[in-house]
Amino acid sequence: MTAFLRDLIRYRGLIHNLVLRDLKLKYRGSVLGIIWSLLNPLLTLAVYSFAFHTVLRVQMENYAFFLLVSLLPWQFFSNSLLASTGSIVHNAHLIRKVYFPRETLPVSSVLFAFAQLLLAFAVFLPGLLATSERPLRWTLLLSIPLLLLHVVFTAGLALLLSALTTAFRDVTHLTEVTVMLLFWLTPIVYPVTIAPAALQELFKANPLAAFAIAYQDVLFWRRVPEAIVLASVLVFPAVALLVGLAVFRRMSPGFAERV
Amino acid sequence: MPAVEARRLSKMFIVSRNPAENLKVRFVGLFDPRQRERREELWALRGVDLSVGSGECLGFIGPNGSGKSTLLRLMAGIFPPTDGTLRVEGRVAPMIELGVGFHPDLTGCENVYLNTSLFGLPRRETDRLYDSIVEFSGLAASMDLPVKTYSSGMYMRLGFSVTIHLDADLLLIDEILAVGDEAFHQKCIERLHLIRSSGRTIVMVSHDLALVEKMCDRVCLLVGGRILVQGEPRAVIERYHEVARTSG
Repeated sequence: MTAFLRDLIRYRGLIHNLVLRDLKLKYRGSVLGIIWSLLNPLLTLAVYSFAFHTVLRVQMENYAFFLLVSLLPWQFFSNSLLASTGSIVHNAHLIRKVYFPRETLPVSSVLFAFAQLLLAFAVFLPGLLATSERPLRWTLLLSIPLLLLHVVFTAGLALLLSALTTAFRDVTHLTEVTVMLLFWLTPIVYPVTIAPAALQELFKANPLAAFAIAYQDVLFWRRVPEAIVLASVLVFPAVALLVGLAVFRRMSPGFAERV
Repeated sequence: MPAVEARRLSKMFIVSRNPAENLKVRFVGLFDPRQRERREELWALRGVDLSVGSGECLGFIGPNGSGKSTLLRLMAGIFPPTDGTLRVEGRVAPMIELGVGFHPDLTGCENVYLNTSLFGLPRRETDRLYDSIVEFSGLAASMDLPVKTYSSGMYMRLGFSVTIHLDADLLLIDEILAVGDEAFHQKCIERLHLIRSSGRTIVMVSHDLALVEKMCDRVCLLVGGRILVQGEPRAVIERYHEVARTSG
């Protein structure tokens, strides 16, 4: 663990440059450039609002805002995992030619997605907070540790998936379909309270749902999440990081031969 | 203390013929033995004992597939040894391929920063070295162009210039001295002599025997993953000629 942090700090320049490279390359040549990072969630939000609020009539005040507070973090999570599965195998040319801590690759995939989440939050949140009727409360500040825990959780899974992909390329496809399906099993487009009571408890033990509920609590409802949700968002990141790192460390010496 | 110390160092790769990566191929293999996957062990290095003194310039020569590049990659930390031990002292600058990680759509300048950070150089350090890197490469006028517009010579010049500025204790050079045109080639050789005389250790792999003889203090002849003979450059090169004659 300390070796992991030491490597990240020593190679922070590399992580910085990898994230910067991806940001530059993603939008190079497009007319709207970085604005796409905002348009993409905005369009998704518009269509989901239409489908769930207008057509399916999920009964909620300020549904768009409710949707946004957990949809943006979900997009960060899903983009991170999808990018991280390829982060080792698609950088084979680097791995076979020079030694550097391999952890920097999945970690920078996660931070690249995180940079876009922060951008989107920075642009959308102030406006939504201003238009919302609920009073501003200190619980909004809980979103900061929550974001950090979310990064740790996602980085742990990213380390795990990126390493496993070098042995089984199927992991990429499996991740793709799993993430897509988990979206509907996570209370993002609907509040968890409309689920049958028996299911609600089950939801809360699921780390993805716990994060979604926690974001909704601190940003939308402006309240402290209940104990089980808090426990989930504290424990799962630690577990994910420890497991992810253990698997990654075990497999990384063989990466150069396997990619 | 030696810069590199190897004891009974071995490296084995698993190679598969007709790699059966998915179920379909495996299924076909059940019926058609010609399409069946066969895994073989390939021993690229077999029990190499080696000690490279600090400040020494050591050359590896030998036929293709004799394990020279594998040895260099082990020293660079890219592959773990299968057996035996390998100890490398200090910072390593691997010149196994020039311009590793250069992205065609990024400019020369952006690529320099990306490349140095790949070698673990902090940003401030790159800021300090940047002018010198550009000057050595002779590409001052092209640094704001995407490297996809570079000629292959320009690309290698920039890559070479970055790596020699890394200020490493150990330089690993794999057959990359055929860089750019005659003038730049001369400049590289002069620079390597300078690095050598400043007490840095150099391990190089090359088929350019004249260059090896001129640069190296000691030469190892590697055949079939073993060091056949090592010692004074001229004598070892002579021996290599004999080996090549008898096997060719």
